[in-house]
Amino acid sequence: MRIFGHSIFSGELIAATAALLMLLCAPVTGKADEAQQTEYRIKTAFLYNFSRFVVWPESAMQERSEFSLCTLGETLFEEQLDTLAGKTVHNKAIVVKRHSRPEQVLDCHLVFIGEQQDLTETLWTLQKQPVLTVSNIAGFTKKGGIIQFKLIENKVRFLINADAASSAGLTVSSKLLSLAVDVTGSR
Amino acid sequence: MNMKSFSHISIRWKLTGLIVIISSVSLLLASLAFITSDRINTRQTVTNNLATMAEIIAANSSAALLFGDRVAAQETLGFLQSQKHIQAAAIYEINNSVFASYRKSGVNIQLPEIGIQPENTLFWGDYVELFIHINYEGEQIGVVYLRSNMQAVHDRLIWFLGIVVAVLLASLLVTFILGTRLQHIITDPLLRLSAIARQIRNEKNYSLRVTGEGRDELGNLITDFNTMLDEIQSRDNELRENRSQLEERVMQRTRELEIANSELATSKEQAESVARRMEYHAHHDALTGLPNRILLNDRITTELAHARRKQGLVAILFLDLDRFKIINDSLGHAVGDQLLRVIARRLGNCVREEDTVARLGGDEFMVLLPNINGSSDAGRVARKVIDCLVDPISCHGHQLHITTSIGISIYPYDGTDSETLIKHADISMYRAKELGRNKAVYFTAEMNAGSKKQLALESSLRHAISRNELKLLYQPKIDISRNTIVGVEALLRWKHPGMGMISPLEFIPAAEASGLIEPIGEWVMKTAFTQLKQWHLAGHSALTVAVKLSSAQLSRPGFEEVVEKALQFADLDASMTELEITENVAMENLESAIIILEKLKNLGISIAMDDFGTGYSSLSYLRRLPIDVVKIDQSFVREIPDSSEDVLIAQAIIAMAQSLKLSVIVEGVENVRQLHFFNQQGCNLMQGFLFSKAVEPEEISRLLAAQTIPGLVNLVK
Repeated sequence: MRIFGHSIFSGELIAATAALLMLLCAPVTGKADEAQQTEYRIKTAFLYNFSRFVVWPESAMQERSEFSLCTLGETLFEEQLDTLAGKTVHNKAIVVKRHSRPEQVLDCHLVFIGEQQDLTETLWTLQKQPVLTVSNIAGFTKKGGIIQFKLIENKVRFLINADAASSAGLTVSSKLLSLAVDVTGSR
Repeated sequence: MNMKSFSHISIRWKLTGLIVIISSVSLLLASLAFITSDRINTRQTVTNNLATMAEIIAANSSAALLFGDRVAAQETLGFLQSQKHIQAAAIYEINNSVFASYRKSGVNIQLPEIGIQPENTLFWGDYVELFIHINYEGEQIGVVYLRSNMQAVHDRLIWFLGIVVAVLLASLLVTFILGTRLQHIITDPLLRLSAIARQIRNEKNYSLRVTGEGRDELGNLITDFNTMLDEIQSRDNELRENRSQLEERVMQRTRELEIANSELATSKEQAESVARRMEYHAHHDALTGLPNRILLNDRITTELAHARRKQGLVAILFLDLDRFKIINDSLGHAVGDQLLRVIARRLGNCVREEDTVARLGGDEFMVLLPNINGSSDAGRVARKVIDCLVDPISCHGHQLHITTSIGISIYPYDGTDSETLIKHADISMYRAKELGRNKAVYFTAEMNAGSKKQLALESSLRHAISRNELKLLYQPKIDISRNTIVGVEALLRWKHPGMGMISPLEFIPAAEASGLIEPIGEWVMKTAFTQLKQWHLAGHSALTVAVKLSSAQLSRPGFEEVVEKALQFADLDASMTELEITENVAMENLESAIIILEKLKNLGISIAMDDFGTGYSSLSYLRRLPIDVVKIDQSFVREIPDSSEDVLIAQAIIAMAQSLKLSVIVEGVENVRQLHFFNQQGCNLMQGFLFSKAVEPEEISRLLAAQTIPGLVNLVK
């Protein structure tokens, strides 16, 4: 486990990814806390990889000098997200931000929406905005969210709403789509 | 292949074989090149296909790798099932652990454990392995491994080989069939030519011709061959015709000749006998029947040519009968002719068969001696000729004594052509007459050279005495044991008003030839004896004088009277005088020389042998001569004591003289070493430049008065 933490900090992303995958193979045991921690570490890596397989419109990329990775409301992410700060996506340094109000995340490229948030309000606010929305909330993609995590056989998987992505002006790589458990909407 | 056995094979099989071999080789080479090129291409294609496949896998599996989706990764490998040649495939994570893998069913292959694997293609004979990197956004996130068998490449090769063999066999068959058909184009005319040539050889039938046309080289060959046959045939016919004509003509000629021959035979015999007689008269002397000058010249020429080839010698004897003219004049021609005939017969009898005796006319004869071994042979023959005439000849009641003078010349010493040899023999003959007739004389070079100058000298010499041009010089003779002058040698000098001093060697022969030697010899003795008398009167009564004699003087009968007269003229005791002869002078006429010398010795005169040892006479002859003194010639003295050979000769002469009890005088002593040498040998009497040269009588008087030779005291120890 130590290898994981250290290698993240050393900035060796490839090693981190490899370590993460090793974790995925290992059975999730021990306390619920620990299992949860592991799950969120994997989800952190996924967030990073999502941003690599999604292309934002020119307007969203040119105007901002940083890549903003945000959380909205209460999440179970702890310091894991901060490990992404300083990495680059699409040639921009990642900045991790924590917000509580939907209108605060309009400037973010990617936003992880906490389970306590009012989805209707949030999605309405972010409607047609070039913001990649990710959440654990069941039925998230059906309600208009773009990517929804889902645990299947103790493995982290995801669903994608391609229509929501394209209405947000985002292009999702077919490779990412092919890995999704379920894809809503036409491609 | 054995070239020898190859040469026995028919040309048609050679041609076919060549065609087949050439086409096979070129086809084989082309196939080889094609297969090689195809193999390279196939391998490249397989590799490219494999690489493309791997690229696809890499691209499709990058997301699965990043999201750890093994199922998705496994799915990307799924399509390989349709690729029969892929034996195995795998996707490795960056930490080299296998993420997803594929094995062809029924194939049990261990996946390689990879380290830091560069992108690579590895050929392992029957399979190939390929590694390529899986990259995402410039970062390596994994490795794709593919393994494929080479079945496709091998299959292709076998297929090609099969094709090649098939094509090769087919082409062999085709070229063989074509070759056997096509070689007829070239071989048929050749075989026809060969067959006809053989037939002509066997049947000798030149009317045969080779059929066939064509403008190529073979066509030309056939045309030329036929043309050649035409030529041969026409020549053959011509030859046959000529031969029959010739035979006929020869027979006809033979008949004609037989007739002509029988006609000629009789007249030819007559003509030949006339010609023989005429030829004989042309070449022979009518009186004696001996060859004449013409035949002689002819024979000389022949023999000279012969001698020139064989490097032999040829001698010519020129004979002139002495006093024949007197006989002829006094007793008449009839007697003279009879005499000549007898002499001719005698001459013919005393020479060899191969020698030629010829009559030149008058009383002159010539004898040609071919093939002689040396000059002395000629002398011997000449002596024999003289002996042959010794017996008196009875003729018309007269007993005639006849002698001859003979001149001898020898090829090649005295001339190389007949004219010169005859001329020189003639000169020598006159010399023989001068020397007193009934002699034979060899030609010498001086005779010829001298003959012109001699006439001039002779005329001058005639006046030399009356004009007081002759004088005597005297060389002292020293007895070194007593250091005194014991005698002098008188030496004749002639100062010619025009020619200056003339050597006695030059003018004495002239004097001898002209007979002037007699008055000159007389003058010399009188002068020398008179001079000696004066020195005796001056008190030197023991002094002796030596005078040289020439051969002419010695051979003259009654010479001793001349000497006596001179002694009386000077009123001198004979024992005070010494006469010197040379070895050659003595040997020239040994018998008469002995008689005269005996007479002189009886008078009390001492006889000295001058230049002793230079001639070739044997010791036994010398012993017969009444000699008192031997003079060692200066030619031996000159090199003493440096020349060991001359030392030996001098010692031998001295030893001989001592054994014969003769006294020895050394001539030509020039230095002290010579003086010491002869002194040691026991010789006391010496002459030479060391003491004095020949000087005027006044100088001798002065030396006598001084009673010594200047410096001699110091020289003699």
